Amino acid sequence: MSENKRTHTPLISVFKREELPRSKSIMIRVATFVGSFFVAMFLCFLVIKENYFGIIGTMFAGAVIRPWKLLMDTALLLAFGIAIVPAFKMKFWNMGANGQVLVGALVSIVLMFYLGDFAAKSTINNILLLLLMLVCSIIASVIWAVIPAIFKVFFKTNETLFTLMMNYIAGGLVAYVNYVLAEGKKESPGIVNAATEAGWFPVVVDKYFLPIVIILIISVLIYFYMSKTKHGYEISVVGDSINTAKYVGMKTGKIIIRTLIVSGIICGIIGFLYSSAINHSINQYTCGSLGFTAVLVAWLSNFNPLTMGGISFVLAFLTNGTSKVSSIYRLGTNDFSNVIIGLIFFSILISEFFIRFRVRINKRNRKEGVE
Amino acid sequence: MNLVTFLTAAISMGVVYLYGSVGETIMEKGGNLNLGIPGIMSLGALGGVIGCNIYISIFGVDNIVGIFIILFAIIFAFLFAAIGGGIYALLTVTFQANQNVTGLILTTFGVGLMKFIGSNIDQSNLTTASRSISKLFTNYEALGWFGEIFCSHGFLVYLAFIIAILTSVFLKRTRKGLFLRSIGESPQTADAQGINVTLYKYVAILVGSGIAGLGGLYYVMDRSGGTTFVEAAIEAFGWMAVALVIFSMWKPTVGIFGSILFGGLYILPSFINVSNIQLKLFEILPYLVTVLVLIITSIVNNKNSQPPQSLGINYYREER
Amino acid sequence: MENKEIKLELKNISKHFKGVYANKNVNINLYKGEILSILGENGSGKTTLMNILSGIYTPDEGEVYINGKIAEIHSPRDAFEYGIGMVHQHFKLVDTFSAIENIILGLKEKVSLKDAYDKANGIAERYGFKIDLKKKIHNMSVSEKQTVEIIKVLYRNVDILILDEPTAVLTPQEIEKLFNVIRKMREDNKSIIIITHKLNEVMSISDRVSILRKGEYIGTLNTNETNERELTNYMVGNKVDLRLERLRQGATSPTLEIRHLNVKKDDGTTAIKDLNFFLRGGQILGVAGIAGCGQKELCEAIVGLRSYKGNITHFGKSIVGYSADQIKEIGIRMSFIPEDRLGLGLAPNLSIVDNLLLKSYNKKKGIFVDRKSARIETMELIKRYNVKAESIDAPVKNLSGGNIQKILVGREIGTDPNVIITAYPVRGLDINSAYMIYDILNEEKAKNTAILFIGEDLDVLLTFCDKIMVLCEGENMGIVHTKETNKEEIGLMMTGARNLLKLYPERKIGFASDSLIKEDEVNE
Repeated sequence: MSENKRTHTPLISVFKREELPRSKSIMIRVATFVGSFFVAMFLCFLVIKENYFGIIGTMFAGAVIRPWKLLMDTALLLAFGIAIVPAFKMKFWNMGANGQVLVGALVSIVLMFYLGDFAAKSTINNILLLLLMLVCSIIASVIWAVIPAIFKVFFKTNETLFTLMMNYIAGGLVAYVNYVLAEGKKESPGIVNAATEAGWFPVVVDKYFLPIVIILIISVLIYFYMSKTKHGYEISVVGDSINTAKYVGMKTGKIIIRTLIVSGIICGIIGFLYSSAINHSINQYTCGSLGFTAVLVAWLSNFNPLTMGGISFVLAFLTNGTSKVSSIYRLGTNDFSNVIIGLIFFSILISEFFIRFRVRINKRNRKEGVE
Repeated sequence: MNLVTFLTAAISMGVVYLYGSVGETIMEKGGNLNLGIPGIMSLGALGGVIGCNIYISIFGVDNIVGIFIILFAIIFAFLFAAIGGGIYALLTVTFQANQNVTGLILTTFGVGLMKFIGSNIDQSNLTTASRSISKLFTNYEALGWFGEIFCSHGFLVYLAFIIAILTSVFLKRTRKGLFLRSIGESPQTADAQGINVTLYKYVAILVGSGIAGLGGLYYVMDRSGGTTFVEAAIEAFGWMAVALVIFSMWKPTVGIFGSILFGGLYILPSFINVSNIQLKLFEILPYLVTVLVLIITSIVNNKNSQPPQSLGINYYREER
Repeated sequence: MENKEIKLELKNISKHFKGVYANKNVNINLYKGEILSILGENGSGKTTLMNILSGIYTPDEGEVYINGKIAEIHSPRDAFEYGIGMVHQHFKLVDTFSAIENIILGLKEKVSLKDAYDKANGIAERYGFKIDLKKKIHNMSVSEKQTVEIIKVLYRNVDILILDEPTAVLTPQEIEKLFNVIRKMREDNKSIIIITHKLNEVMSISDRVSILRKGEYIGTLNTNETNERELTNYMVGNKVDLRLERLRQGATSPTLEIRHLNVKKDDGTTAIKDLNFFLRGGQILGVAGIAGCGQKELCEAIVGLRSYKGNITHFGKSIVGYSADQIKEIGIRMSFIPEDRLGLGLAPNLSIVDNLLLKSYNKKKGIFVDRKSARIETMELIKRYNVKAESIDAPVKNLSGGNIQKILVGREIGTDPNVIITAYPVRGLDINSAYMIYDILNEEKAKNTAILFIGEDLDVLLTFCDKIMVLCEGENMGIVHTKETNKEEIGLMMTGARNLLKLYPERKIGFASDSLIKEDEVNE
């Protein structure tokens, strides 16, 4: 091998960079978001072929025209995020928030359905029913969340797929029970107790006001739970190095199961709110894809609840805005907003790369041969 | 319950999962856990439908020739799905984004795009096109039960089996298959040996996605006769396909039998006498079985059923 | 040497990671048919430099010349094109593949498995390797794996061969064998670079030696014109006179007695087989053995992280069935540095404060973590052990290896243990940090703490410990006083060629004459 072979100089080289100052990395993210938003809107414009700024205007107007709904959507997304964050911090990929919320909501609806007459008799009875719904909803959600955790702990069963499948099992159960409640005549009984409003959550200021407040309180509690308590500390150790956790004598199995119980409790409360305060009815698609979107929210915010609130708001804004755009320009339901949100997320993931790495463009045609 | 029709239907349903799981297996063998499979299969379905429409617009609805329209559909389905895979590859391989997160976004995006564009697409000729796609042989009845079970399907069913077997041979017996597997096990080693990790990952993801996309095409244009395009539950099938990868222990040949089992479970309720209400419970069955399979494989914890060592972890050469 | 042809030239190579220079303006020449040692402390940039040569890292600046022409190396594939092959310290092998499958990985030309097998066998024969190429890697011993790595490189006809710390995991006899192979390669006119930090090896194998210190190139010497002392001074920088000392200390009655210990590995195979030994306060028992012969499992069993069969007593009281928690309670501490320094004992992404909290967070009542007093403790520890850290809230993984180990050891010692289990405590540390760790251990010994010291460097074991227990495939080959043995004997014991338990069954090796265990308990 005396002859030197010509090798190929790559166009670019990529290196890990020093940590960027916080302000700079935030700026990159915001700029990416704004940039990709306008590009996405441009794609919209290509589809709709009407005034570009008109579309953006419709988008903004559509988002804020129902402020309470916007806030409720934000709060729900935040709530789902808060529910999965403890588990995610432990690297337990809980994809099953949807299912966990659904079973809670389902139990609430069933109780509302059968105990409606009892609750309608007096305010005390109604309060009793609400409490019962809350407790049973939490129990159901906790069971749903803990089953995969138990198998994960004892048999290392893959929790990503397990929790995913539990979503569909929960959905199937909802469809079945709905059918039963409607005595096989319809797909579902629809709005439960529409006349008596038994088991309905009291309305203050707005139908959505109290649920939003409750979710905010939970978020603050979870923030403190994660950052200040021994439980939160244990979660961060287990998530960072499970061997170290074992070594210092932490009972990791117990911690994993306990954390999923916490997730389950939050999901139970969300389920309860869905049935008693938000929808008063249920179907397989009640949660939409909030459980998955929340994964993205939690990941992008690096599990920081405050950032999660911000990203949730942006997403809720986009969803509401684009669904207004799609209804006005007849583009179907929220599929269109999923496309837009997907595009924006793709861009944000790419920007994360440039925050972590620096890219060098290599000069071509370097000198060759003997000096 | 008629066993022959049941088996026939089980095979026919299972092929949806088989495409998805073979595609996913190829990607996972290269170390990429792609949770975007539901999105990719949806894109495949969209591409397939568009391919059919293009064929019809060129040649006319009266000139549908089975094998040609299938070719059109396959090319477009593969292409659309591969574009979805390309996005995933770009983000996870080049831009080092988290694989789970990227996969989930791809699912949201792909399913959304299929339904959005799909609802604005002319679907009037799809049933006609489907008729010439969903049968390959004629006169198979002459072969009795054998003909019914094995010869009554469309081209895409046989293609699925062929692809599964070829993939198995590729992974087990060929040099390139060995290289790909080494990347899934230890990309550091593969790289140090001079294997182009990035290139292999890209190709595996693109081809794997393309194959998975055929599952979407098959479901819409063959299995469901071109009728239930936008409402199709492809998302759920996608997750089942991901589960089938684990069930098959990353072996496509095992996947063939697994797919028939999964398919059988899915269609079981329509073969036994159940009320409408009970039917809803039966729909849970495949998911329950998948959960059981997950649990059993994890309890058995056999050395041969382990996922590739570096599955889900991105490779960056200068990592320290 | 002037008449020799220059094969490879490194000119002004610089490389930094996240702003810290790993190599700065390094210039090294390599002649045809010579063995060049690259000497430097841990963290001096030896491996980074070689990874640049083999195409893993791209340098920020500088050029590589091969045969006088500039060489563009951007990937390992390019490196092979230029005839450069590297045997990495952490083997680059696919565990689930067979040796021959690993060898053909990435080959450009199409070969049948059989042809490859014949060629590889030919290479093995030529250099005197005995190896079954159809064996799966995960069934292989460390030295077998290294053999596969070397065959893999030779298979590709390289003429520049880089070996990164090849002797770290070998017995003295295996090292001699390897050196013979390397000399044979030199006879074949290949150029060999060997990375090491062991001076005696530099002296015995290499023609010339290049020294790196903190990423900078210090100089190159002919080995027959230098000596170990001079090399040390170049390597460490300032004149150091660090001598490892065995502290004289009266030993106490047995603190920890281990009888008939059997431990399994994760995959269910035997790690430790019927092991008997004891630790006395004020004594350091060294453990020698080839890597992976049960050391890790032994440590984990003692500190309650791994289930086992047999009997462990602490001051005569059985602790069988104690959880890791309870074992901590009675004063047994472990400082364990496995392959990945941060894998056990520390949580890499948590702050220094949170890492110190690991052992104490549960002491106080209430549901909240008390970080206030932890911060004060952290500041004290940092001062006491001279830990260099930007902030005590920064992730512990950002610290250098020495500082990380100081935090770990400091935390463990801080609780006044009576038994310390320590494995490879100085692996990857610079000399000054390493000696600080030795000093801490000697301090503990003076306090009558019993110490189990699992080591890899036989010279260190022989000078630092009071006794050495040698393990071979999980079995005790004997326990010897360091004053009464030598490297050769230990080497033979490591490979199982010399088994004192079989030679002198009457000595009851591993059983304390003044055991605190009552005999009837043992018989149970």
